[in-house]
Amino acid sequence: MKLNKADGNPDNNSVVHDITRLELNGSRDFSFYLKKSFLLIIFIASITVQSDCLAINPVNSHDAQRQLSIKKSGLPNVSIVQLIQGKSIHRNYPNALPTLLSAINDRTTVKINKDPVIISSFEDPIIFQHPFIFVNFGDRKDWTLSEMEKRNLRKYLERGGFIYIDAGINAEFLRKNRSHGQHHSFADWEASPVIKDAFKQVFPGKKFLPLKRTHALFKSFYSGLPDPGNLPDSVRDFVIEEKWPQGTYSAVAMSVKGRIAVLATPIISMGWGKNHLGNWSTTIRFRIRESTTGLSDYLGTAAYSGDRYESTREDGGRDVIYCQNDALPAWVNEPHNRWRVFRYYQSREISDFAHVFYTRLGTNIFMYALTH
Amino acid sequence: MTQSNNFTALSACLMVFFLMSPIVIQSVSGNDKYESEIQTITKCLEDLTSSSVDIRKRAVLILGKYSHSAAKSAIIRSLRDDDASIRRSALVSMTETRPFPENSRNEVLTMIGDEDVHIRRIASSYIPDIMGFGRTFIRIRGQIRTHQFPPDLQLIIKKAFTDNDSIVRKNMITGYQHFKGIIDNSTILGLLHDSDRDVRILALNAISSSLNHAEFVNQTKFLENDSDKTLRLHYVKILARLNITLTINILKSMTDDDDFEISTEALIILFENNNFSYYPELKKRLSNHRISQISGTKIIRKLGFMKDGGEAELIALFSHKNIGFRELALQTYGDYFWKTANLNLLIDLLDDPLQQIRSRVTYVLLRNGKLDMRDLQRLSMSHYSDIREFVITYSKRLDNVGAMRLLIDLIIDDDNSIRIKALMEIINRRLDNWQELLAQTLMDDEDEIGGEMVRMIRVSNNKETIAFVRGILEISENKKLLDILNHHNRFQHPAVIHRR
Repeated sequence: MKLNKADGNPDNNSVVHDITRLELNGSRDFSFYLKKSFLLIIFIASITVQSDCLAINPVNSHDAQRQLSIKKSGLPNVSIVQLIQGKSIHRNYPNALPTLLSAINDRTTVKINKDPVIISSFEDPIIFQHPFIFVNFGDRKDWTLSEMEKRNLRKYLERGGFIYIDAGINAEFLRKNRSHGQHHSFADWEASPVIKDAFKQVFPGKKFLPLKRTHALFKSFYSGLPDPGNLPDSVRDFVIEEKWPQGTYSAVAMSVKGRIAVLATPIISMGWGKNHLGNWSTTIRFRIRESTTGLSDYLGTAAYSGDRYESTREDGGRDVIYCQNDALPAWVNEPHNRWRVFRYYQSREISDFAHVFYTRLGTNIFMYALTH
Repeated sequence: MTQSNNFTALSACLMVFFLMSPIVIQSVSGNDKYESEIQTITKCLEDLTSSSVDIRKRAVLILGKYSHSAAKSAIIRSLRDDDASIRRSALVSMTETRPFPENSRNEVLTMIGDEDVHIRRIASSYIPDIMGFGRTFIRIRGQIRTHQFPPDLQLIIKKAFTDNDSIVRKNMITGYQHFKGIIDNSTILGLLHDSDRDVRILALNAISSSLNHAEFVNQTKFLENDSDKTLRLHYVKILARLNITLTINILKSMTDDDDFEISTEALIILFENNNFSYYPELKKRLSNHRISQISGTKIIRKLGFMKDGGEAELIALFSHKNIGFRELALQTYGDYFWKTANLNLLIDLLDDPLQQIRSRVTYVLLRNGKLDMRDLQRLSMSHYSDIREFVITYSKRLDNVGAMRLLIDLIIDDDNSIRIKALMEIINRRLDNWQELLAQTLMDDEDEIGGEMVRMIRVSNNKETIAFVRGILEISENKKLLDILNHHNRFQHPAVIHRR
């Protein structure tokens, strides 16, 4: 099977997307890239063991960061593909992926190209030259896959490719408006119905299953949470115990041939991007659940002006969420008739903590995919 | 502080107000199980009068969910509660029903002086929201004045700039523009010595827009030796925006910085300001893997302005290991030295395996326009189709005889797209035998090429050519091509021309 447009002809005029491809100069079949990826994976795996030790709470210390910076030479040899349907200028969080790839480049021994290779559909054969495809769910308006896309995806995933769909988990109350899924990372444990339908056509017998908190993905480079010492106590306790225990996150995955091939999470790329001055591009608020004495006496009958939704909990139980006005969850009725109020904390240390966490989580996802 | 008495009277008044109000909001669900908004709010307002912290906290948590003015007012009052957890809860609730009420501005700012550090952090992080983005001043009778604050609040704000918590200090400097009327430059200059790196960077940003260039350089030059690399890098980037005569000594000193990125940035600024003696050092750095594409771009583009040796340095970069730098060098060469371009060198580069390099070379050659026929004939036999296509483009610069000499070979090219383009050039220029060549193509060649030719002729809208083609096709009774000519399939996507 020839996967390169070049077809071995020096007359190849097709746009050459990146340095990796430039160096190829001619046709390569998929086995070539698999061999290349295999060698790379062995290399990365050998250093990841060391990296786990290095990554203990390095986040808040600039000195530690300096010590951890790794000297590498030569040109980047891994490129990530990003799917954007339509004009790339309209993509969500444009700084996000380049910033994360830059952080991975700085902190790990992977030499990764900071600029992703952009494709507009899975029909593009260039996907077969790269091990990882990143898609923000909102960057593809229509998730109806063409026949060629289905074929390509099947081949790609069966042969070792990995797709990460950010915002591919969209709690029910976020589905009315596309932009809501880009701003709320609500922990749900079910892939968006659109994603489920799309991949059902690629692998009819397979399903997205919740990823266990103990999964190796959550420890593939960083382990645990960033230092939560600066957070207000109510926020800190919730984050450690419920929101992101041990640095984990709500995620669902579809496995192909015994390995994770497609991963979906609520939006996390909103936490990756930095502007040209090196400051985080977004401010992140925390939604936490708070309780106090006698809350259930009131909330069971309290007026609400928005909608009422259900969402799936990690253990499969159901939460009933009450909203005020637009998609702003106000309180929740949890199993065993426990009522809690959603609180929205905004502060610099909270936003910074979230950014560091999301960057670490993104790094873990990429490192896991590249080493498995 | 205990608010029981006040709240009892207030809740009674509110009840009366609600009952008389014509707009009584009922439960959305229409289900009797749920209260109306007024009922829920009234219950919570009564709870706020309780002496129990838990009950007051519950009330604040629930009231925060309603945008009713009574709920909002109660939340604002709760900012003065005796208990810190209630005050914090009320402060968090403030963000849930945006925008912030106008009358809450001073109340929230007062929280910047709270004894609880988390309250101070949250309150100070709200500054952009409560002051309004970009609303740094107000107009009174045509005069611009900064926001006015009561004297006690001014003291709280001033003190917050030197708060013992670095997060509060960062938040305050971020919102510095709103407090320019009460915070003088010396406060910010003092923060340039802060123990926290981020505070120093934010202070640097703030002061760079407050002082004139000379004063800024004078007050900040000690930062070239700051212990933090990020700050020094930020500093040198700010210096790049200032008059070079003021910054040259600092920049020279920073060229010796231990950090590669900082010293390179300093070198580049000097080089960009026509200090070309720094190029040898920059040339070495272009080969260093740590140099960024942006830095490389700045250096290479500046070579275009280097009268002595700039051209030679660009030529040297044509074989650089960084493909991006090679492309950029060729582009710069084409932009600044196209008149005197070294043609033999460029022609050799047309054998480069990378298409984008060849493309840059053809740009220079086209601009230069001094290729001779022998070179062009050699290029028309290039094994790269883009170079053969370049020859067709270049033929536009030649007279009819010269153009025909090149194009006649290309109409039998192995690549269909080249054949079509060459023939179209002959037809458009009405070169010798164009009719014969066109007729032969339409009658003898495969339909794929004929179809594409007819489409292009139809698009060209040349009546003479179209009439000629119609005559040929009618004689040969080629209905398929006639259909194409007659627009019958105008909405079909043109057939893909496969290359052989």
